[in-house]
Amino acid sequence: MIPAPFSYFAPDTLEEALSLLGEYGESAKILAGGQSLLPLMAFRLVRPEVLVDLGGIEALSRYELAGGRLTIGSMVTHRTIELDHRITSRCDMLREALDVLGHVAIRNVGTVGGSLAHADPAGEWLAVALALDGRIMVTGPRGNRDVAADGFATGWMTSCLSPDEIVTGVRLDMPGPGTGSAFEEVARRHGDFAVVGVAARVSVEGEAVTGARIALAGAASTPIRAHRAEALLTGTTLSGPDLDAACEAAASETDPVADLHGSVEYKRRLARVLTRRAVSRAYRRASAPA
Amino acid sequence: MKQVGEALPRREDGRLLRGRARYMADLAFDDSLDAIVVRSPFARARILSIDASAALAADGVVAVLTADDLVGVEPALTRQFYSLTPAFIERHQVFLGPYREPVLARDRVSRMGEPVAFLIATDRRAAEDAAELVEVDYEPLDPIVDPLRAIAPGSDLVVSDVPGNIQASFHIIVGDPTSAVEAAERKVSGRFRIGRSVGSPIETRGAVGIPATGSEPLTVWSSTQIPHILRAYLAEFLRCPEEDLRVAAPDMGGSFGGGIYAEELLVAFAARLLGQPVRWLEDRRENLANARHSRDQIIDALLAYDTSGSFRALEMHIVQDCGSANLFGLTLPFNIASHARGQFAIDHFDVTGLCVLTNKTRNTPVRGAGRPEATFVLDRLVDMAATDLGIDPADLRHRNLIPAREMPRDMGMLYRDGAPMVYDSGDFPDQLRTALEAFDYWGKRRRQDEAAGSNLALGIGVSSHVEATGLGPHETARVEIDDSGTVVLTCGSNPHGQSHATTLAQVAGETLGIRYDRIETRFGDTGLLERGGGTFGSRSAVTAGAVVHGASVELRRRILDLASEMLECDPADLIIRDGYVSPRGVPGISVSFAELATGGAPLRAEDEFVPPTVTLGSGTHIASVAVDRETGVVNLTGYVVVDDCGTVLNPMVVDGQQHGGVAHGIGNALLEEAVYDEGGQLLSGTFIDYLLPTAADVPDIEIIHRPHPTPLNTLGVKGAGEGSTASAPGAIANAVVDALRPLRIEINELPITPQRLVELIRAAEAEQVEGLAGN
Repeated sequence: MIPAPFSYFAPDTLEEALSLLGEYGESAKILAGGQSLLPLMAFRLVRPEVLVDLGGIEALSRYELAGGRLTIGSMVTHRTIELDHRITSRCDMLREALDVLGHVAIRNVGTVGGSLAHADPAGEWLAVALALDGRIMVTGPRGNRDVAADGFATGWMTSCLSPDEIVTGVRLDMPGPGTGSAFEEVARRHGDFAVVGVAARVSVEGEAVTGARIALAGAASTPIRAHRAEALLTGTTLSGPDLDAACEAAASETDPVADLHGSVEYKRRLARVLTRRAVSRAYRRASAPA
Repeated sequence: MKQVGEALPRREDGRLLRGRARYMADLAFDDSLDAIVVRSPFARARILSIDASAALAADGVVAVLTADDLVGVEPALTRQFYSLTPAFIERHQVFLGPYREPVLARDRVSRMGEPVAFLIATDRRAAEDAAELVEVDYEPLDPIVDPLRAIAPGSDLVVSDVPGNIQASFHIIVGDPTSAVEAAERKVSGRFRIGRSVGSPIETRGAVGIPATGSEPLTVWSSTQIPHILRAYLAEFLRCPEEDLRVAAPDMGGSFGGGIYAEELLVAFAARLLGQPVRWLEDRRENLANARHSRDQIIDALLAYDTSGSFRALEMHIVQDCGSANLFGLTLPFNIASHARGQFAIDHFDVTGLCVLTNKTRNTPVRGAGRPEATFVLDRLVDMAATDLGIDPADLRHRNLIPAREMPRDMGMLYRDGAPMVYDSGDFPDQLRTALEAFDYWGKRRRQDEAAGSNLALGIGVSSHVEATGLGPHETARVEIDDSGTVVLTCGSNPHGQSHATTLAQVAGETLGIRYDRIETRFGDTGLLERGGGTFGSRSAVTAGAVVHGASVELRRRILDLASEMLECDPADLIIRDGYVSPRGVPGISVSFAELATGGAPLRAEDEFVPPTVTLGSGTHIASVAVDRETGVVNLTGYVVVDDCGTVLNPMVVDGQQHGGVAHGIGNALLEEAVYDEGGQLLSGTFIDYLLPTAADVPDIEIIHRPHPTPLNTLGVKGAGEGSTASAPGAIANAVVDALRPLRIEINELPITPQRLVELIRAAEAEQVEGLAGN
């Protein structure tokens, strides 16, 4: 359980980090908390020759809530967001997702950017970003770019990043008045990876749904949006048949991978059940007087 | 001063909580080398060649040992852990085949993880880097993974000298089960599967071998529960007298079971060969793949009863998946048989057990060791019968419990130690009544339905178990007073979390008139005590407790004799208080332990306790659960334990055992499962996939002690280490079935994973729909 030998760099600036990535190319890995990378290295499943630790780059550890938009630097820890009441009181989905994201010890060290870039299919942050119209901010030798969360992950633990790029942060739209959100998850134990998790955001006018976002973690090789289910909900008042149809749609949009904690069929079932619960709660919250 | 029975604070905690414990990895020796085991990646394969040249050339590598290098020692473990008496073998139709487990694999490997080479380097990092360079050429063979296939005619053999892959078997018949089953009005039956689990201590295994010096023999420090037994195995392996060896156990971060492992032998061999200390520390992946696998049975069982609810007969057929070698012989399935009737009066009984070899990790007794399996099956059968009869399970249980007036009760069979199995003490009906009352069982039953939510179903489950504890053959202790007047207690049994330094010192302290926390304690070192038993099978409070008591009584007699000479006073008129002896009513005149000890002859008493046989602990558990019908997630909402471990040495310590036992049982019931695929590859290789219960999974547990001391030892103590593990799976399974009672599902498999439960729910719903359509 000792990693294969590697060199370690801790740059102070993004420019330095980029130049190290440019120099070492695919033999380098970015260390952004290490909650996933270090165990993989200890098992020697991953053998980077070079680690570039972003922990010393101060600019990446800032976050800001302004104008209904939350911008989080990539090296901000889960725990920092979890403990900021201004944020969690504005967004039930985020509060509920952070409550089940690993354990406190993990949340103290793990980072938002690390989680996004890791692109774990069960990752809560990417599901939340999908449901909050998130944009992932990336920098590289060719300059800065913004990537929509929907499309960031391209396959099992892979993203559209090239090896010389760095995630610098994420921008999320906070639910405003008339919008409710929720996060539902089944994990085998508190703090385990989600078997399936569902992030839902629902906007309501009167009793009608004017817009919905549904994102699922653990339901495919990447976190996914349930586009059809979202469309089916829009314009409804969440009556029984409408909700049933949307939940069925969400389940059918999944493509789960079986593992020890759930078969394909079980995960589809969870997708349906948890979509219902998350959407219903988000709708109730949207409808509740502020 | 009264100490036995008091909830005195654990003496161990200060040291443990301040980080002052010395675990295996904390032991430091000059010039120590680090070893790593190169293991088979295949479940079954021929070894065509091993090439260690690249590894030997790597930085820091000192040696790479393979089977060919094990010169002058026994190449395999062959002695089975327990011996059986001829009378036992005849009475229960025992067959016991050979046991052979190579220390290092030579021509073939029989399981994933089997040690193939032992690589020794200057440090751990060098060892891990070089281990990847050892090239082993394997020719993979089709593994035998399913025990039912292993015993089917024509199966390949795991080892050539165990025909049919049946390493051991037995058949117990009590009364006339055939006629009783035939005559019974009703029957329930099922096939039950108990998942394979892994006893998972916080500290993984480790051992260090230290070469002999002028003054010290070849020494092995190991995180073992059985230093004296390990010494015997080492002597056999190294072909040397036991006196030439010392085995000791340091502080241990848990254990839960064990036995003898190749690595403990290899460090000794390597240290002797290289003339330097050689240390091996297991990592978590090795631990999950190679150590303390347990449970893993398929049990066909039938309970026969009358419409009055009176139990008539129990039949069981046990297939025990032993893995690739069976060090422990009949232990696991015979333990199931011994505990199969639990607290119930069942006069007719028929059990067969088969120990089947497969290409998996060796199975071993782990906390409970057959008791949880037996209790789960019986608990389920009883609740199935209650449903069949339309009686509340608590009522049906009450009707069939062995009444207190029938104690002691001969169970009509022999225990593994060859003695007649006799339930020596206990009041089972009182235990059940106490549990029902504490839980507010009838009140909760009445409110059960109204308290349920739309997705949540609430259920209550009862389990009761017996626990044969305090297995022999013997335990040894010495109690002495050194020159400084300090009382020193030395015992063969060593702790790995059982609080020996507290509870045994309470026993000695009360007898000797000195506070328990002023007694120095030493455990588990063959260099300190020639004989010793160990810590397993809920035996330490019983056997070590009794022998410490015996030695302390003897030492007290000697103290008083000596003091009576010095004080010129009859021993009967002397009292001991806080390490001073004085004539009763004359506190001004006294002689201290220190003065007595410097007086000449050593003040010392050594004793050996040979228990007549095991003594019977018991317990009743009630669990309540909330089941999410849609996701299959089970949450525990309440838990009560009523326990009878005889005389309670320290209620706080026993409570701790109950908490840990219930947690372990919750793991077995809901979470823990070592899963192999069809190729014999372990899929649950890390703690991401092998799920231990965490604090969030364990509810508040109310514990009530209802002790009935045993007549089998002077203290009246019965063991308490395993019972709570025994009842948790049955109580939880019954509660889940109860929650879903409109669906009439049966839970026959552990662990109850959410997916399995959803599948059961869906199947039952489909059946109900079909039933309606049929009408």
